[in-house]
Amino acid sequence: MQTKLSEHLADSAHGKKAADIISACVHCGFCLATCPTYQLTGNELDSPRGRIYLIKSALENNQASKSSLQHLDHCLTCRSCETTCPSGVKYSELVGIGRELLENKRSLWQKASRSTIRRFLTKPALVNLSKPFAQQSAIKSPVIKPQVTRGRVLLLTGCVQPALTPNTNHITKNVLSTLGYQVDETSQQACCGAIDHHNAAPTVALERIKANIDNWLRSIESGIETIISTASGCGVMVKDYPTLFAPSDDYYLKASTVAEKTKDIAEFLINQDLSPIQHQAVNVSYHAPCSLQHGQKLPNLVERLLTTLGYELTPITDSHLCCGSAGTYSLFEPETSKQLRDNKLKNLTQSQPDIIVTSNVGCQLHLSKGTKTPVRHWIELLEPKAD
Amino acid sequence: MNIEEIQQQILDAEQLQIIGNNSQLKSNHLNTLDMSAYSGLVSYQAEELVMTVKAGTTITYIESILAHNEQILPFSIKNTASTTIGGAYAIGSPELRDAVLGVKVIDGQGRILNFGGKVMKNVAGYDVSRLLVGSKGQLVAVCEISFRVLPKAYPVATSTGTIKQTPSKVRQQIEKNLKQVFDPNGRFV
Amino acid sequence: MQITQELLAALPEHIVIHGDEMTRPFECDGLSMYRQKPLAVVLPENIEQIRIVIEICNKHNTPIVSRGAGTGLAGGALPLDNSIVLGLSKLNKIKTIDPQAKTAVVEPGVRNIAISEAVAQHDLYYAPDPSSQIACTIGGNVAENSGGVHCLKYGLTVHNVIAIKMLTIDGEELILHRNDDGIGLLALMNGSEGLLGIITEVTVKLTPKPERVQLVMASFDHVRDCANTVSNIIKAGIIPAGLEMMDQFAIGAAEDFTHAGYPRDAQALLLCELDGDHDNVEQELTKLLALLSTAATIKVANSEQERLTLWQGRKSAFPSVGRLSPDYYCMDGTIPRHYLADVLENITQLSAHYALRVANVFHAGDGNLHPLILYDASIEGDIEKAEALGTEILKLCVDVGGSITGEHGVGIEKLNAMCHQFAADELEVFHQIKAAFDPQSLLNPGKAIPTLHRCAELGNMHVHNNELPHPELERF
Ligand SMILES: Cc1cc2nc3c(=O)[nH]c(=O)nc-3n(C[C@H](O)[C@H](O)[C@H](O)COP(=O)(O)OP(=O)(O)OC[C@H]3O[C@@H](n4cnc5c(N)ncnc54)[C@H](O)[C@@H]3O)c2cc1C
Ligand code: SF4
Ligand code: SF4
Repeated sequence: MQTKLSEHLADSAHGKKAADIISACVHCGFCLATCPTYQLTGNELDSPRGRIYLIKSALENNQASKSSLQHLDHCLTCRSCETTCPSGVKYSELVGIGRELLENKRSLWQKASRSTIRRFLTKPALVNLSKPFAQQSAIKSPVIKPQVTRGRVLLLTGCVQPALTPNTNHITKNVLSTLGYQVDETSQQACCGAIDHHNAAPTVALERIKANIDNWLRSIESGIETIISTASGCGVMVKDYPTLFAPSDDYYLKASTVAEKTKDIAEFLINQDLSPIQHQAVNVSYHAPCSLQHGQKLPNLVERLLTTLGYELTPITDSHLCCGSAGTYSLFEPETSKQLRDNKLKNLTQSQPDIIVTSNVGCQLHLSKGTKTPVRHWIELLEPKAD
Repeated sequence: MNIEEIQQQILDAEQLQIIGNNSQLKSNHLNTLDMSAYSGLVSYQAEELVMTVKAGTTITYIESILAHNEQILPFSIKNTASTTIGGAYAIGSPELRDAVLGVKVIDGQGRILNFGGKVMKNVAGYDVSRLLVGSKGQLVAVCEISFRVLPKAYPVATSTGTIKQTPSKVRQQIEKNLKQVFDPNGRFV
Repeated sequence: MQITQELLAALPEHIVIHGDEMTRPFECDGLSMYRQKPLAVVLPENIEQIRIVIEICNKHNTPIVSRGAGTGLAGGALPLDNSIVLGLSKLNKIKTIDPQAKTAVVEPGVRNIAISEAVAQHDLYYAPDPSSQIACTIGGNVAENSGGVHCLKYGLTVHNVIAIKMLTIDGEELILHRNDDGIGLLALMNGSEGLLGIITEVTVKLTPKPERVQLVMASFDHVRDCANTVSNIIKAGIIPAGLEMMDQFAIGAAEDFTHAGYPRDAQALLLCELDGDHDNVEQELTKLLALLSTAATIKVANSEQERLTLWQGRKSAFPSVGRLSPDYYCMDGTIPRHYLADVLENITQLSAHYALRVANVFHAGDGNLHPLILYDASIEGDIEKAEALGTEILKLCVDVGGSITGEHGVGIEKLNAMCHQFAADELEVFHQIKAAFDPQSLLNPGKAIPTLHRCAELGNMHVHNNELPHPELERF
């Protein structure tokens, strides 16, 4: 579809980029079918095609109001539509631009409350305070040090994980050590930028991101071979860093280097021999986070890995749909979020698993609020032991 | 008999009853239009799986031609040696309707009209060629029919028959309106 | 607007969408070339609400445009100036499934594929599978009499619908059944493009899953060889479950999306699916392989996963072409099968003549072509060129004894082409049929059937005695 940019956007890089993305959309409607919000409301305004159209209109006549913004807010950025779209429309990049364009239509009080939450989540000190109430999985096993050194990796600490699910990175480190990798960690201060980015705080996000890129490039120069993420929500953000810069920008190449080195922990482990590592004998259901299957475009990755380990996974109905966590979504759109969570948990518990596992801390915390079945990062199934 | 003669006969009559050979629609009217004389193959290409015949052609004849090419009709109908395809069309059955692809008809005003075609798929205009299946000679004189045929290895659809019941008021009204469309002067009785 | 106020007063607020900003995303369907904003969009949650809309629209003499998923490719769901769009997407429940009788009763907004998913546990499926089946609704399918890649053997929508419930423009319910005695009103509703009534419930026939399904993919160095093979397969007495063709453009685009393993350098690709019981499929497979002597490569899918991926590529081929070109215009002409090679060659010539690329991906077994004309709406004059080329292609189809549309419908887009296919008397009958249902012409007026006036202005294109326009182009 063609977008005739309004005069005031005609020369803006963002406007041009958006128009370019929209030109790939042929308005076929396939994406309606797999969009979780459209499934709930049956209203095209809550569908990818509808949102693309709202953004297109906003770019063309510059008259969009907060009604349009509401429908963009309602979007989970789960990117299921991208997986479905045969024409390769880069929806998430587009909706990012759309949100920025419309952010100024938000009411003041809404702006204030969003900004508070955003700052809370990206300030470790504040998150750490909530630890006693919300912590999911405590560390119970001793730290293992590598016996041999096969290589060096950098583990993304994340801003929420250390406080609320510390065991994830603890086990990850032990697994990597057992396999002979020396693990460096980023500081908790180095948030990947996702929360700011998805909540229309682009300047804040970019600052954080540039700082990360610089730091991690230094690590790469000092011999780090892979940057490992254990939260697919952060992983996808880092992998998408290059899309935030124009190809002419200095940071574009730098961002590409960092993105290329970044791997989800499952992506890193799938080709490793895990047989020396023991794992729990339990029935599991795996929840595939959107950020892994649609965002990083790694469908079936963890499923394959778990099957290789010997777990029997029953196929999950509607496994392509979002659980409703979607970053800060569960805070801003609680109703939809809860409905999606209920649907998801119904499907995940169909086979009566002992434990639900996933690949993203956001999904983990969100899901665990709605079920008695424990929800963990899948890596916690592994039980590395020092020998 | 050619189509212009049929057309003339319709225009000349104030009222007439259309009959096929040995029609199941019993004639009780003096003035009849006997379509059985209008018969024969119009076109048939076995690899297209489509046949077009004049309405008075007997089912027996059609089946004999098809048999030469190892093909069959995709529907089964009560068939005496003299049943015509036009008669079967007018009486109607769901399976025959499924197989119909196109028709040439003459309406109550004597207009020669073509609906549908000779291809498997065609959604241009309303599906009049299937609408008129079962019209019992009340709406048009059916002159030519195109229908789908099958290689003989494939199963014929089991016939499910029709259910007679008093139509709802809405349906009656619509049927009345359609009679006005095809035969406004009430020629066909 | 007064009517909007009335709708808002009579219906829950969240189902009435109004105002320029919010109605704009409904201004087009799958054919985004034509756009028109409606007065308002109503998304009813039950039949009673549809009745209310009908009543209010009657009162204000305001047209109603029904809309399913808006995937139609002919502008059937394109709103009209001053119209209300009635979107049936919220009515998406499967009401009952009867595995014994092999039927399911569903609301009009149920997606085509959702039916097959819901009945899979009984080893049944709903056979007609438009490529858009992931998204399009059963109501839209009935309104368009949609086909799909498996319709060669299992029939179109009209063959797989047992009954419908519909509301007339008077708000009366009409129940139509396949086995009704008398004229075929149910068949008439199939393909009626929202002009005769609003479909509120559909009873579909379900088909048992075959014991064995075998997909064969063959590539060809020459389009003509591929086209001839299609005819030969049917001639040999095989009716494949699906028989589809793609040309090099389409192969490349589909491969970019699915990575199904299509041979990119092939000039033409044939997908041929056989199904039935084991022995039958085995016999047909032997016969089929013998008929593929002109193929460059042959691949017999050896897993269900591979089969599905190969089909996914085919089914996503239209929008995948969006990767090659910002816009495309999809044709839907049908022709007698034995003209396939000739017509395809003619299309290539026309494409060169108009300097617009054309990708072909279509239901070869049914003789249902889908030339996709690639254009760029931002280039001045391109739309007009695409339309002109499209008209030429459709004329070509009619001239060889085919039709301007096999499954997508006429909508707003093929009104001119209708003048080419039908004579004035026939068009008049169509208008009268519409009036028999909807005398005030409030249901999707102006679509599907051109006015006689329009055709006269075009210079009565209806061809008699094969007098062809554009004699300078080589034909056969
Ligand atoms: C990529 C792509 C591939 C496609 N492939 C195929 C294919 O293989 N075969 C095929 O046949 N079609 C195909 N189509 C066309 C389209 O998907 C079909 O026509 C489909 O049936 C439309 O369904 P819909 O729900 O989107 O209806 P819409 O587009 O919303 O509406 C279509 C028409 O139906 C009417 N309508 C809708 N619902 C109702 C109702 N409840 N009552 C009365 N009228 C109603 C509308 O007024 C309109 O005229 C394709 C489309 C796309 C975009
Ligand atoms: S599937 Fe892709 S091309 Fe189709 S409407 Fe959605 S975004 Fe556009
Ligand atoms: S990102 Fe998810 S919620 Fe948003 S439009 Fe796409 S599918 Fe729908």
